[in-house]
Amino acid sequence: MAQPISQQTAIAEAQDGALLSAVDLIVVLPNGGSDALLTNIHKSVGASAGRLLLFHPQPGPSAGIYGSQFQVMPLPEQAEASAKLAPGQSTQGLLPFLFEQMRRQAAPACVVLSSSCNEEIDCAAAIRELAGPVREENYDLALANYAEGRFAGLINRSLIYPLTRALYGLRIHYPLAPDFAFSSRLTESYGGDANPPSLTAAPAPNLTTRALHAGLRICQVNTDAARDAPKEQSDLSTALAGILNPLFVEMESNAALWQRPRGSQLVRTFGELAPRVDYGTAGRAEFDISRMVDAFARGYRDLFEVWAEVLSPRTLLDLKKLARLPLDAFQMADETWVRLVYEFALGHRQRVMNRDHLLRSLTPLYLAWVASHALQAGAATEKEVENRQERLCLTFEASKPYLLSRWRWPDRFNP
Amino acid sequence: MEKAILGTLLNQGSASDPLWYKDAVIYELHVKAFCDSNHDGIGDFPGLLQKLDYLRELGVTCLWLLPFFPSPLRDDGYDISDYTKVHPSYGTLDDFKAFLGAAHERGMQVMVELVVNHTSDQHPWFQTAREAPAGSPEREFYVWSDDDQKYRDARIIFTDTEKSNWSWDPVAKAYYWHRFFSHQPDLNYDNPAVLREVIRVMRFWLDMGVDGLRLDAIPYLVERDGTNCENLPETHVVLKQIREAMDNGYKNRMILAEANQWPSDVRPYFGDSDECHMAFHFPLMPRIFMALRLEDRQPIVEIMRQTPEIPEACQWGLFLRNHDELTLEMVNDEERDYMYLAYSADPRMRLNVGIRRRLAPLLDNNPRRIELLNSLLFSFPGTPILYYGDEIGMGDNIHLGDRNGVRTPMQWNADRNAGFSTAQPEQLYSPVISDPIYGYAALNVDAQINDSSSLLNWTRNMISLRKVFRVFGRGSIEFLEPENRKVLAYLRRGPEQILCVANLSRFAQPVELDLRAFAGFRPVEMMGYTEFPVIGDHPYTLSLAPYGYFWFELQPPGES
Repeated sequence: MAQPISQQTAIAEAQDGALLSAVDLIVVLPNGGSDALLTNIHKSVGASAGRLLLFHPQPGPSAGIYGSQFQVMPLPEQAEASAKLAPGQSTQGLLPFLFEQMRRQAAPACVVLSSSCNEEIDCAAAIRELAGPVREENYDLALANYAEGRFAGLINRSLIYPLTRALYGLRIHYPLAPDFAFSSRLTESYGGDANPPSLTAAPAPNLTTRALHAGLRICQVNTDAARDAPKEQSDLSTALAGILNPLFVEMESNAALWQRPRGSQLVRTFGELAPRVDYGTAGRAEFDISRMVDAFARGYRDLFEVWAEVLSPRTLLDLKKLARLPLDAFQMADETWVRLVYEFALGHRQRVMNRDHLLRSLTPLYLAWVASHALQAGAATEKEVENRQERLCLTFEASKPYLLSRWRWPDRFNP
Repeated sequence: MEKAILGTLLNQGSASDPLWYKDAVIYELHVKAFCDSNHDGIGDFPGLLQKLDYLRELGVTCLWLLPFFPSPLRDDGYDISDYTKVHPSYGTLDDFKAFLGAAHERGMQVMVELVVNHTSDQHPWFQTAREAPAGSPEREFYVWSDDDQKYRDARIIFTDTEKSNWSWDPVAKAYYWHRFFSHQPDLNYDNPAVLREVIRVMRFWLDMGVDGLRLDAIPYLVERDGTNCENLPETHVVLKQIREAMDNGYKNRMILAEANQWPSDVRPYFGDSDECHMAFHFPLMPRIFMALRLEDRQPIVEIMRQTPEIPEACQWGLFLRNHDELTLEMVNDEERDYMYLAYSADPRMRLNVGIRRRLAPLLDNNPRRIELLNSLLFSFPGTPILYYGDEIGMGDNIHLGDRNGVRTPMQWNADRNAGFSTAQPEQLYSPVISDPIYGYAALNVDAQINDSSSLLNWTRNMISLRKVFRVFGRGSIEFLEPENRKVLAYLRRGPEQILCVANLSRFAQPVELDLRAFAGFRPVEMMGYTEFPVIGDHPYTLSLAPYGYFWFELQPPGES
């Protein structure tokens, strides 16, 4: 391998667009990777991708050009910092940087791999697989699909996936996947926008809804990459508010987009999904169900007045009944969960109170759903868990008319 | 390719879609009437800026500002004495810029007035002209004559105040031409310098970022003997040059024509998409009121039948009420008599050829009638234009002169001066409405925000719903002909298929609709998202409550 040129020179020249002026693929690793990984990417991706430009937060001595086909550049601090935001927001924070690079380098495709790379995960393969549909099959957005266990990714499982599926009518399992590839067409679809995404404008429109809005093609790619451990464990309220606020804001700005679809359709999925890692009993031990139920009970006691601002009498009655159930019979019905998620979306839209305050108050309700899920999923087979997930999604879809009617004609006088 | 390069060099407006005005909901307001921030009793730009969030929440997407330029204010600002400044009562140019930026930040476009037909007699152009020698370029900025006999076929528009379109100027020792008040001399477009100056003014505001221009009184730009001096071919030449100057320098901007004419006479103002982007549909408005009072859809259907097709990129501007009188120029004598009898029992309600009343008083403050007419406004082909205060059902004051009775301060809350100003009540530019029915103590924004059944919340919901369906701004219209003429039914067709049905009667009405072309489709009532029975091969029967209306989305088989 050729000796890389100096980092400063590389940065300056890349900023001038002088290096690799016609880049075939941009790869961004917001969470970095070892020298060995870069070498691996160079070998296994670069060979087929043509000229490749890779951004890395701390490339150290690796920065520079490895031959004429592969260049490693430092990720600017601002973009790196934004990549560390709450799930969902991290991608949005990166967009301005990504778009700028796509335009400057005239690159037809870009891959972002945020999942941590280690010896067990073939990140080079994940990059190759994500780039494939965009570079070879004319897709505009390829989102990673993960083999997560029954106790992993519960915010996505309970909220993001079923909500976006019901809204936009597409079964995209990880609409906010941190690992994705996109085309220059998607970048260009922002082109005429008077307000392109910026680091200060929050929240920026997410890639999935933007692609839908522009009528672009979306697919999923099954990947071995493992999403980082959910940040929800450390500060669940912040994570929930951070994820839901952009989703709900987009519901407001994209009302014309999501109010038409009915039901949902499969999206093309590339690759095979690896077996889930925790089927059996693993994972459940991490869940202290009684603490979750206690948190719900405390929330019911302390936050009832807040909930009463947004939830309908019927939902409040369901919660009242739930609060009386013993631990072994604790079960939040899907219908209740779905209705209250929709009612939070409506409350958010109507600004019945400070939005962050409102979204944080969802935390005990979410924990009640997680406790219910854990109680059900603990002894279930993989198929049963899948069916359970599908039932929840169908409930979101079936209840969409309720959301629509209340969205279109807001009224405090609700059932 | 050259076009593409040129496109990138054009001064981009705040909207990303070149046809933004087709999907817009326009809100007309007077800066002086909206909110007073400096306690002098007159609304101003900083005050308006404070209320932008209210307007965003209402859902309107474009703000049309009535004239705010320096003026002697003898015609509420339409008598402009300086086109490129802000009247000191309303703030400064910097205040305007701050407002404009804040509106754009909230995703709203801004339209201002370009009063191109006339100036104030206090404008320096006129003061120079009257002093300049006859025949000089300065003098020729206006239309002069040694006698008052030219252009005798031109009608007088302000019949209540003007006896002639000519007035004697003792300084110039000649008559000058004016189609409106005598203190508003008409500009002379036979002098090329006039158009150059008007384009310079246009560029001044477009460069600042203004998105739209309402061209005032455009049928009267050019005069020719032996004609009625309206809609002349020379006028269209002027408009094409204004449009060309806009297109050559700017992107995603819009011109709205004020041409109070029959639809067939307005059609040329769109040109081949090379004159105005939009034009008001004046004759529709009185016929909506007439149809309601007669409980007969015919006046509406008839005027829409007379409305010609317009170019794809053009759009009608629709309104129920505005800052002027409910104009009855575009109805026949019998219809005008009926309208006076039906809507202006008190002669003080009449002005010129129209009725100077706001929407709610015209409809006897009946909420169902107000909602019904607004449902037509929001679902007819065109861009709806709301007049400030009508979203809360504000009243008027017929004891104020001219059209000032419909230009009273916005009623924000029940505090002193309706929350419009903290000045002494005597200082206000106009008294607030304080009668028992429409008075600010009971009828105000704050009260209606907190009342989910209020007209304000109804209006918000309807605007929001309209914005979900692009067909309202862009689709075609097709009237159905049910036997019951008290029911108006029409299809809006485009990206979506919408069926609108309105009961113009004060009593419940049945209707049978021929919807066989949609057999198998399911009507879904759009407000409540309620599914109605699937359409079959037989007439589709509906029952409508008094002044009831339905909007249905017709969902194709398999979609429901």
